[in-house]
Amino acid sequence: MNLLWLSNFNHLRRHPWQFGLALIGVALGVAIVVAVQVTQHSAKLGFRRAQEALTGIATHRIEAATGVLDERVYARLCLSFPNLAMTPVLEADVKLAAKRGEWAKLVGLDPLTVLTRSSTALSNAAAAQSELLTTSLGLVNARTFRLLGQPATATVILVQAEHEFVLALQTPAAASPLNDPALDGVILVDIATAQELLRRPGEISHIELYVPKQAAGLLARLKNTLPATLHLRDIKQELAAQEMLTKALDTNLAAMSFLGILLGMFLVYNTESFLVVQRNVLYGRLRTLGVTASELMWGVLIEALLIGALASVVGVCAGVLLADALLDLVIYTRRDFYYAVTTHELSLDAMTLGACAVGGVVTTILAALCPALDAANAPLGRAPDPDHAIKSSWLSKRVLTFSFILIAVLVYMAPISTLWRSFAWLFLALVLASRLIPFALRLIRPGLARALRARSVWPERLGIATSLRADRRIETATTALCLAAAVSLGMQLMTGSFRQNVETWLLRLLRADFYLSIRDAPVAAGPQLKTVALQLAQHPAVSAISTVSRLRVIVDRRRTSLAVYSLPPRARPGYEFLAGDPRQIWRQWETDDTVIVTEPYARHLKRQLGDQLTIESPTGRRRFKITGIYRDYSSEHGIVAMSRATFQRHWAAINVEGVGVYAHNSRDLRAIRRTLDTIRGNTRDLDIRANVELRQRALQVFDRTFQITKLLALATLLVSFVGIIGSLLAQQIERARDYGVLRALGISRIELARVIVAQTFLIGIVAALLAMPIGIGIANYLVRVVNVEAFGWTMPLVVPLSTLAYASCGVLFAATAAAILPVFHATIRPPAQVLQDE
Amino acid sequence: MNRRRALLLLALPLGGWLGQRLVWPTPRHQRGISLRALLGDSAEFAEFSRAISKRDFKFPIDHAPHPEFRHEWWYFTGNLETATKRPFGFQLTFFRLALTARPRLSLSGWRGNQLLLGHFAITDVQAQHFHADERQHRSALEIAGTSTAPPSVWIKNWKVAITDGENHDWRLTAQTETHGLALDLISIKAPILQGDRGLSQKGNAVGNASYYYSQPRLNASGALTLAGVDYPVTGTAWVDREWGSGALEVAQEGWDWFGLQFTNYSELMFYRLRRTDSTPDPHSSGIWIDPDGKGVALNHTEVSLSCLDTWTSPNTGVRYPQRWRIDIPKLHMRLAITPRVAAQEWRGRVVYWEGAVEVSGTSNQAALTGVGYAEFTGYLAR
Repeated sequence: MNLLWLSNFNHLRRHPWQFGLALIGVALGVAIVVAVQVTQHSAKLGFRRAQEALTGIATHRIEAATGVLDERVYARLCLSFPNLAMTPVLEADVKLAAKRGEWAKLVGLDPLTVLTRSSTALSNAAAAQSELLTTSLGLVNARTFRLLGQPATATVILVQAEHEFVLALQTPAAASPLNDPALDGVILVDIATAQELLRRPGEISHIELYVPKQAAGLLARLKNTLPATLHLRDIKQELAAQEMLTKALDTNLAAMSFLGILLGMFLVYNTESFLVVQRNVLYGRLRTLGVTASELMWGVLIEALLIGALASVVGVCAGVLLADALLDLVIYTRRDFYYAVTTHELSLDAMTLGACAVGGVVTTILAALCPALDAANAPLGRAPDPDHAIKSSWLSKRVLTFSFILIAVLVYMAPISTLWRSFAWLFLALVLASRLIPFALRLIRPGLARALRARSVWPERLGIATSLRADRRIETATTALCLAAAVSLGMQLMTGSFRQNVETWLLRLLRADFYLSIRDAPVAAGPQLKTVALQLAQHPAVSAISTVSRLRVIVDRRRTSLAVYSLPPRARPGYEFLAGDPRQIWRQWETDDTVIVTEPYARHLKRQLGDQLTIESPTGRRRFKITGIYRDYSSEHGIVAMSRATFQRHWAAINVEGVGVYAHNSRDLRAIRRTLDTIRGNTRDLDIRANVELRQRALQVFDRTFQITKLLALATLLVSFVGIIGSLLAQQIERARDYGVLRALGISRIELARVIVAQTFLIGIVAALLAMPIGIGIANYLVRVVNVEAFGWTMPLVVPLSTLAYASCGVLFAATAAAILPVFHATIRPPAQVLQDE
Repeated sequence: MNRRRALLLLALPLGGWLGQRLVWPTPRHQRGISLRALLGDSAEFAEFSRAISKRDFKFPIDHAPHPEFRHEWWYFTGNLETATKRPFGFQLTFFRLALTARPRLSLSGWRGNQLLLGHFAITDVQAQHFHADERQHRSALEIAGTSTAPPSVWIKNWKVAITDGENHDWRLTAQTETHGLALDLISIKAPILQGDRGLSQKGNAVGNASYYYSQPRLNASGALTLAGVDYPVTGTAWVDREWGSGALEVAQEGWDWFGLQFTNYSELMFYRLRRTDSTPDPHSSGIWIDPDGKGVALNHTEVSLSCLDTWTSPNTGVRYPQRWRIDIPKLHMRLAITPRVAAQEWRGRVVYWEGAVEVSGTSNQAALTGVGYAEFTGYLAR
């Protein structure tokens, strides 16, 4: 046993690069998974904490369809259910007058009702409590205090709906629960202060209450007491539902991170295979010295365990660092979904980190299983195969095939979401592809050899000749590069197609010449935009005005985004209907109780043309018929849209959030722009964008959302790059003696370098050629299966030649760059020493 | 007895912050500082009306709130029993705290300056069980409030109200998830003015005083609800009313208070203030009320209190005195006091012991028995 360890150790010592690269490969794979898991966990936790900080132990929420409740409702409930713990909440987004674009959430509560965490925080701020109840005082945590930053005066001027108000601020003692980072950006005030400042006397946003689990009867009684316009919601359920919203995004990211570890696994498999092949002779000798086959196998497995353990530790550390960098991106995308204040705070969960590390080790050992079986199969004392063409043992092939089938069956049967299953199929397809690529190589090799040999010159010809030999190391190197290139190409094609489709969609949808909105103001848009719209409609150069308002309503018992449009005929061709007759749709649009829904909505909720949707309105439940399903990439959760005329038949007036201005002709644009500029002078924060500008901005947002995907694709490519270097290095080490001979025969260092570069370049060409069909296949799968399942929208796949060309160049560059280390290795030592060593 | 309530009163609305300090033991000096910080000095209360000179108590109007003073309370305790002699104790207390001397003009109906707090407990002597609940709300939107005609105070469905102003009769109603009470209290003895004709001096500073009267005996009848079962009950009750704007000294560690009603229709009230330096506090005092309603004032030198036993709360670990002996040589009186239930500990925002007690002993060598209420505070830090 000692002999085995010593020889194994000596071998690794003599080939530190291989060992190191395998280590880096696994570490990178683990790092990617850790980074994605930690960022997701942190973002989720941050969001949950922010929610809980505001809802605390509250279990239910009473809200009105209109979003505004009369405080007398609260008083009545208090008296009818005196033992029920409840608190009124009035909240609004407010802007800081001193800092453009900075928002805070003003939350008015009753600090005497210790129900929410923040109200606990309020009631715990003893020294301030009396002031809270009697003056306009807001409590913020230290971080928010710095953000709002007017330390000299400790007051802040806030803006809401066109009027400014001054609020004195205080920070609580360091130990106060109010200093919870989850309350960053939140200004807590007494409910009276909120009503005064927001000029909303008598109004509250909602009521939060705590209903103990065992009080089901109480809940039923409460439900019966509430008028039809009020809804009782289960907060915990809603939180869970909200978390479901980002599930598709999370799954996508997680799946991509697993792709990283898959490549890492492939890398370990390669490295261990090489190490076993290299030590074939050694193993033969060891066998004759009495080392058993199982000892050899365990030797390899333990080696893998060491690599796995070391790499996992490095990977976890690197992953945490990477997560810190990625967190803002993830939070950003989440913020789009929740409109919630979340904080940049990395939550390290020992379970997650531990699982990732163990996963890294287990994956490494699994990947080394086949090479270990091969090692056990080392022929007793036999001289090495002259051309080093090592065949996998019968057993390891069986193990591979069996595991593949087993995993496939598991994937088929496992109770996982369809999205995860789709990804699992993709992984299995990639594993299968990795086994099939060598066959493809063998098929194209003879033709390629003939074609290239005739056209190349010395010394490249030698390189080409050697790299076209049926060499397993060349095959694995090619496979690794090919797979990485294919995955990266697939992702690029998918995001490219997506972007192109979004651009086409925007081009079609955005038909107005100017778009107006109130900058960053979901709440404050208020009546001003309505006035502006009316004003513009009178303008002689304006041919039509479109408006949009958005709100959350309960559709078929689910909270859903409702878009309320007034669309002039010119705007209507912007909607591409995937189902429904446009003429019919527009005929009924304003007169009947009809709605149109987006494709993701129809797909997720399995709604079809002609279905009736029940929407809760202040006048009770109303039914609306779906007359059309239209293409939309703005929300994966789906949107229900109705005309303003229909809306006004059932709801009270609603604020206008966006206005589209249509000019008679392009000559009038300048005149309209002038008018708009005048209006902007009078209206705070009016945001005017010309058509092109808005489209560009939308695409910018799109690009930002996909930044994390790009980063992950890059990381994946990096893992495979490490892989190809490892494979090539292994191959070059194998060939050291050949190169020694070549050098001894008089070939110069430059010429030897050209031989090696020619070899790797050819590997690059072959990999690029094979990666194209596989990459297109992956893209097709991502677009047609994964995207539809994750987001619910369909789109045609676009395969631009430029993307293919870029990807090929990338592969060739990677292949050539991967030659640097082997060239260095092969040329640095004098030939005599090389020959002597070997 | 007003110091105890003043402390309690101030401690309660000023939040769980203090509550936490009291519930979870912290070093004593922190508590002291906190209390001082909380209570401020009397200069802060300068805008409030203050109890400086004696006043003419007018009933029933003085049963109603005096919002120009900083704090005020309506304190109802008593012992009840069913027709089958099943005994119960009850406590229903309302505290009013004005946050500012004058209410601020506001668009918002929530912007009151008056806070109301309620404490409601039922002691089930037979089951040896103590049911307690507390509530607080600002005086707003009719959810909680006070009124003058008739004098009443309420927080949701907890309410005390005068039913007969001439006779000082009250009606009490309170209901929680577990226990409830609906009692009519018929006053047997006229209100008795504490201190100097109702002006009860609390400290050396001018205005550091309060107006204080008690109704030492009221006949109670009504219904008590426990775990969904209604029990018709009768018994006797005690009412304490006090208001003022004085600040408090913080040299006291706590207090032991007794309000006892004897079967011979006499009553005894005495409180002992325990100072941090273990010296007797000269503000400790009491009163003996004879069956005709005449009072005999007692100062701290005239009453000797000795604790015979203690009880340690399994919930908070706080050790409270349990059995007492009271000697009042001036009245030739020797009394033994025993809680009717050991576990009558309040574990809300403030941790203290208040509960029903039994008393037996001799007065002028004649046997004397009765029931009453006792309160022990400030034992947490021990």
